[in-house]
Amino acid sequence: MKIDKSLMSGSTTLLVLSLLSGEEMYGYQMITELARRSNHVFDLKEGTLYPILHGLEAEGLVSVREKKSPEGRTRKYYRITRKGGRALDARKEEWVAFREQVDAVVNSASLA
Amino acid sequence: MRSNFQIWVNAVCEQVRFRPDHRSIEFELRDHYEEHVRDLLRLGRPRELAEERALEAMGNAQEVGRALNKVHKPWLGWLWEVSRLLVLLLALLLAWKVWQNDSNTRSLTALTWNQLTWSVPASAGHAATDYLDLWLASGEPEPYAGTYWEDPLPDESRLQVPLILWVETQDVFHDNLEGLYQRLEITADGQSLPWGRYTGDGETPLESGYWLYGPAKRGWTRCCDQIVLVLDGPPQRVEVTHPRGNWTLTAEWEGMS
Amino acid sequence: MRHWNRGKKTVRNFLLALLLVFLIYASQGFPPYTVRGMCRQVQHDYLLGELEPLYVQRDWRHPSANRYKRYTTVAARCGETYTIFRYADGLLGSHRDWSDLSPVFGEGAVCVARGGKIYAAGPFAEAATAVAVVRAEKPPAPNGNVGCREFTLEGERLVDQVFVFPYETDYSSFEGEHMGEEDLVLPAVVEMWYRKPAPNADPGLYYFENKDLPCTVTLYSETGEALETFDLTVTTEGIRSWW
Repeated sequence: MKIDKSLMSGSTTLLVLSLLSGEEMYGYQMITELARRSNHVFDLKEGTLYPILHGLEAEGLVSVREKKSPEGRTRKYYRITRKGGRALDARKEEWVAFREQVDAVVNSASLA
Repeated sequence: MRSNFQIWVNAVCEQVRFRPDHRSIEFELRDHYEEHVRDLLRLGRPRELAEERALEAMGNAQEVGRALNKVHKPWLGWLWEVSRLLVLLLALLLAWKVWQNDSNTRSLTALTWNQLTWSVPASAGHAATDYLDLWLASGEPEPYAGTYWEDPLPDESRLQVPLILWVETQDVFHDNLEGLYQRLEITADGQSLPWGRYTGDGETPLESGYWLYGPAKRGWTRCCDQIVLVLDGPPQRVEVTHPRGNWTLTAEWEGMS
Repeated sequence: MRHWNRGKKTVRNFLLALLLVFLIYASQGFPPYTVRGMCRQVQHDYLLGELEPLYVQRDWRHPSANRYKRYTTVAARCGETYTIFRYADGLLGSHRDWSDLSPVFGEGAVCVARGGKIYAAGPFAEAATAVAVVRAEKPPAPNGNVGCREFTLEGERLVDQVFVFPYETDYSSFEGEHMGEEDLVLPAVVEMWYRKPAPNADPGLYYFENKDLPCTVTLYSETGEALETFDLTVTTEGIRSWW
């Protein structure tokens, strides 16, 4: 099932931070992991991930380091920072509250 | 001929005003694209199709570029470049100054080392002014070895008699306490010894009866200098004073005649 | 190693730059930037009380063939002690230029010769004019004859307590010509008379003797009456210096 892009845009940061909360990843890895975990519902235009990652780094929510991949290529690996962890928790709370309100409205409307 | 990906990534970078970041942006995007292509090839797709799919998945170049431009702010980028250049230049300047160690430059490590390893023997005579502490100890007379401290000439009859002077100030030293050393008044067994001023020939006067600076170890606020008396014979008692201080330091040699 | 973002790294770099500037400044011995700072440094190094600057002169000069440098010459006083010194000014502060003008001191008055000028500082405020007389002594001839020359220099007032006495320095045109010693300018006389064969060296090698020459400064009132005389000295090295 495809989700409307407008519903996605506000939550991309939440998704990216959630992905990184478990382990450090590089860009392509995040795209494939996101697709896998969401059953290919979230299929982000891949190039657009990088402005998000670079922006999160500028804000101090993620940090980046260069590492040699198993194939010998030098890659940028992103990792959530403590500040990013706190931001993720805050956004999760926001999301839960938002979802509950949407559910409340939608469910009451369908009961009606 | 440029590849489609190169055209795409050039279009992305064109939107990013801060040029120094283009290289790393291209590198990261290319790495992403190539891995996607490899995955598609592994799934059995033909190369041309794999490249086309991977490129399409990257998204609109202008949109990606504009979004990157918002993050890669030129003002911060240039400030960052300036700060790096500044640190590099200053580090090089400091390294050069430390390596040079000429009369106008003092090695920080040597200063710090001398400051920490400075120690005055308990037997040294002590005097104090409002911002100086001074100590004096005597050394053993030796045949005079000249201003360059080489081996004495075979027919050398003069003696060099070292005095070791420790000075501690409340303020950081500048090149040296010139006024202290140059205006020291030194007498040996009642005979006043002038400072052996440089006379232009590279050698000090051939006669005796004067004093010279010896090797010095300078710290930040502490220094240890040698004063060398050039005399015909070993002294019994030497007194050191200064016209601006009401102190006297003495050094004595036992058994000298 | 965890990397900081660009903003943090930029701040870190500027702080590091400040630290490096401090270390470089420290490695120079905390050189002064102002005349007040120079006076304080001389006070400290020469165990003097508070120095009051009397006259400050700034010059741009070639210390070597390929660059200009700014120099600050200061005449100052602490009680009865007068001093004249020079600093070479640089980006990292000023340094006493040891190759140039080391501080000279005098009780009651002081003078120093540099590059065609004799600067004198002292209690000269009451005088209308001043004259300096420099005396150079010829080394004894083989027949025992001695001689001397006296150079009388008119003073120009710079400030209340400082006069300058210019002397002729252009003796290049005299080289190679047969000139009588009485026609030579002061630096040429000094060059000729204070040159000695280098000891223990090949013949024809000379060294230059750095000696004190008497320099008598006399103050005169407006009516031409001599007010006071100061017996000072200048060095042969100073007379010969090109600036």
